[in-house]
Amino acid sequence: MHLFYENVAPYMLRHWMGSFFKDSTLNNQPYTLSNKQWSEIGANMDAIKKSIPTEFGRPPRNIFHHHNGYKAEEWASWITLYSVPLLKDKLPSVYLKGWSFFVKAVRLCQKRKLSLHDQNEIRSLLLQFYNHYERYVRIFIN
Amino acid sequence: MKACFHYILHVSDSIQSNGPCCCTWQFPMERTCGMLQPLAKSRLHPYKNLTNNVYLLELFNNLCYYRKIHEQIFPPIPRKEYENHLVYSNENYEEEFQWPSKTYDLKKSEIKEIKSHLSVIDNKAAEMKLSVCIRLFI
Repeated sequence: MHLFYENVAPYMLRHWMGSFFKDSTLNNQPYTLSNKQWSEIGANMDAIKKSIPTEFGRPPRNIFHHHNGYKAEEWASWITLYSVPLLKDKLPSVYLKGWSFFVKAVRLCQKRKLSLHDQNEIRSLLLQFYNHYERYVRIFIN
Repeated sequence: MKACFHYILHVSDSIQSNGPCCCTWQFPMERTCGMLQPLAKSRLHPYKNLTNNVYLLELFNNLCYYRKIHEQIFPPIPRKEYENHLVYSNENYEEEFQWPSKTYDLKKSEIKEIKSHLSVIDNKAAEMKLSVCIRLFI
């Protein structure tokens, strides 16, 4: 699970923030959001801090400022709870759809009991996310 | 491309062979590391220090099997006992409910009144001593 929380999620965030590549000319892609948009998202996260029920765990930290210090648990709640509604209308719909496959897969993986159906679904969802990544995100590297 | 994006293709195989993610995830290991970290205090011999500290901690954990020594070090806390008329408690309920109470000295005239009131109900009350009368009243 730390593969999802500590690797994939931060890398995707870096893609969207435009800090994934060392070569800054590569970072300007259709899926990168501007700093202004990110500070908007961060402000939104700060605003909802007080209205989050305790059931959801710790209240979210501002991802724009604190994404370097995020713990695995915070990444987990960022993936499953906050990312999709906060990125909606900001990220182009193709990328949001690709990301949503991953979100759904992680949600299934967090279940304590998995049926065979769930397992097959995780496989297909992760494959879909992988294909999306190869097709839309990775293509710009070459 | 980062290798981790390839790894996600193997997640479902891993689930098939090892069970749900919560059985094999990293969280318990991280927690153990968090416990071990403050135990290594020496900078010169951190591993020696860590081993000694873990050994000491384990000794403490096993202390409960030596009852005599355990009771010497951790004397058992006596259970508080309350009088029945002051505290209400239930077997299935951990908390105790205390009646609101206050000491109050009756005046002589009040005692007389109580006595006369009770004597209407029960003839014996008039002959009773003061303390008995009051306990009956409570």
